[in-house]
Amino acid sequence: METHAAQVPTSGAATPSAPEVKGAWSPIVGPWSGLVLMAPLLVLLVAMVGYPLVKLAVDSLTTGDGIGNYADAIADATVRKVLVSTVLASVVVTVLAVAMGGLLAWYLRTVENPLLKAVLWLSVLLPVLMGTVVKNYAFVILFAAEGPLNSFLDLFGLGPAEILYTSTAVIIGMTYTMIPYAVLAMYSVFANFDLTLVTAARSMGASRPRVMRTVVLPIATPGLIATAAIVFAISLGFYVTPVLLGGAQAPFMALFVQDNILQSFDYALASTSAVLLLLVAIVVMGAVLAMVGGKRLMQAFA
Amino acid sequence: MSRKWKKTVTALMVAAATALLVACGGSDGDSSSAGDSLVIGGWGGTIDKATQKHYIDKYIADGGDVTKFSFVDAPSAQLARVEAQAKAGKIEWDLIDSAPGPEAYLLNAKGLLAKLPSDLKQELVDELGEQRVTDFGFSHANVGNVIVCNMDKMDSCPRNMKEFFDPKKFPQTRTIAGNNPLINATAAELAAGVPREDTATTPVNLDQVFDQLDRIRDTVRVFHQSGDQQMQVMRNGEADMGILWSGRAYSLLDEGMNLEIVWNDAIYEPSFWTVVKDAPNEEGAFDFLRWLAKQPEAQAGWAEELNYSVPHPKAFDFLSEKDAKRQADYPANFEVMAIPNWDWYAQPENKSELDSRFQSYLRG
Repeated sequence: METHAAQVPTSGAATPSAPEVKGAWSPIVGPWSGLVLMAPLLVLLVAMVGYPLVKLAVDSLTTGDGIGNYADAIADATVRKVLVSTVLASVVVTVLAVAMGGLLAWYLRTVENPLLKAVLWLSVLLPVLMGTVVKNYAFVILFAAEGPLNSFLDLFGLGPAEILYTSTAVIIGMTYTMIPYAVLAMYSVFANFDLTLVTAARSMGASRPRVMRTVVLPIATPGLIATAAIVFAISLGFYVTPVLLGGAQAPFMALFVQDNILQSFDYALASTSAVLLLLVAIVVMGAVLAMVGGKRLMQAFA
Repeated sequence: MSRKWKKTVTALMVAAATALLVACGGSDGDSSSAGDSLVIGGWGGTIDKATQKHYIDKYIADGGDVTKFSFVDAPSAQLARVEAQAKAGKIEWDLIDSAPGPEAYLLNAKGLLAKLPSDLKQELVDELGEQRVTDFGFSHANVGNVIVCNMDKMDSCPRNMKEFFDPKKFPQTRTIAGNNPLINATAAELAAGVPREDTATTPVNLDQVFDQLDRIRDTVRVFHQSGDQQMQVMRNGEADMGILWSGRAYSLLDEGMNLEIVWNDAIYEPSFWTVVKDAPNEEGAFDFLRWLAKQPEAQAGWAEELNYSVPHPKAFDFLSEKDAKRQADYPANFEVMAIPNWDWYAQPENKSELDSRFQSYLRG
């Protein structure tokens, strides 16, 4: 006899997985298969990132004066100055890049005109495609003493702007390089942003600034923090931009370490200052994490 | 086997394939035997090309022992690279093309250069003269660190180092080396009043040196770190005068810039062709050096192209008067140059003190 429709299971457990038919293909990769697939990446990470970091720390403690290296490095006024100026410059770059990147990302999310959208995307992604060295040489030409910028200022009778080979040029160059990263990171935050929230707030009488402050910003904050963390971490280690735009005298850690390796052959100081920079970075990021709360940060990454 | 196991095995195979690809992609595949190839640690760019054209091609045409040459470029980082190789326990370079003076002496002090066999050394001394040959090689591509002024921007050029270090008399922007503390120290010593003949033997007085350097710190806009950057800085007008390598200064002059080049008080900086200790093909390297020392015409061709001085005394015969005058070893130039104190700098405590004080000077 024809039965009625199969009983719908009334048990509380609602399992999402496919029915357990033996031999059926399931898209879910089990933990062991997952681990094995990841194995090459893990090996590379440990060998190319983990081991050098550990060796760097070990080197700084065993060559030269051992733990005394750190005392010497902190006592050295040059190391302190370079450390401070590297961190400060990175902070400035982070603030500028995240602010401009966030604004650009928001605009990309809300703009309707497809042509405008395409042009915006192009202008954000083109710097990434250009490559760091070409970008920086473009700035060298722009800021040159007799280059386009100064010729332009000349038209108005303004004196030659001595930007090249100063920290200002480096910050401008670094910000320009980091904006695409900030835009991409923030766009992923805004992509799922529900714009009807904005309409709702407006319809209840909120002014535009108030909407931005009370509706958009709280939702975007974890993403902003995560983006800032990424940009800060990358900026700290910047090498090409300080060399090309700041010159040999630029007070940046990467240059200091390079000189110690290639000219002074003082490997102890080089590894010690590198580890110091890493420690400072960890402390700063840790402080930010504490401020924001780990849970909200995980939300941003999830 | 069950589905689950099949998946794990497939995953394992994918992982293994990836690993294999990476490993194969990275391997060298070098098949030539050590005996017929030489690896030269070079400067890159125009210098490598000149060495290839004037020396290597002629050597092979003359039937030299070695037929396969390759360059590894490490401009201004030769010592660091050789040290890294020694630390890793695998020496890959045979020769260093014109290792800069300070680095060559340091490498030798650390025992990283091969000592010339005594018969080869004697041959070299006979051919080139005593003062051009050391235990570890012979001088080549000798540079004068000369004072260079852009006469479009100023009326007169400093005639000596004292004037160069005088910011009141010459307030123009300057450029000096950012990666060669010894040369700057020697220049500062001359400015402080140390007689030119004595710079090679007087221990460097660091306080005196940095007093002089501090005087011009505000006028130094750029600390150049490479030959190309020196030229670009002068060309773009970032600096109006500076202490540059003579070869690069003459290249700028040939490009049409209105420069004045002053040899008086220039700092002599020899470079050396050397063989790395425990090189893969030491025999071949010594053979190449033996051949190279006896080629006045080839050396003259090299010198003419790059404007750096070559050791063979007869090389001057093959150079025009104009080119001969551009050489650091040209008698009229050599007489008025100062020689840095290599022995002082080769001692580790002196070197590290000068280097770290120079770092503070650089980064303020």
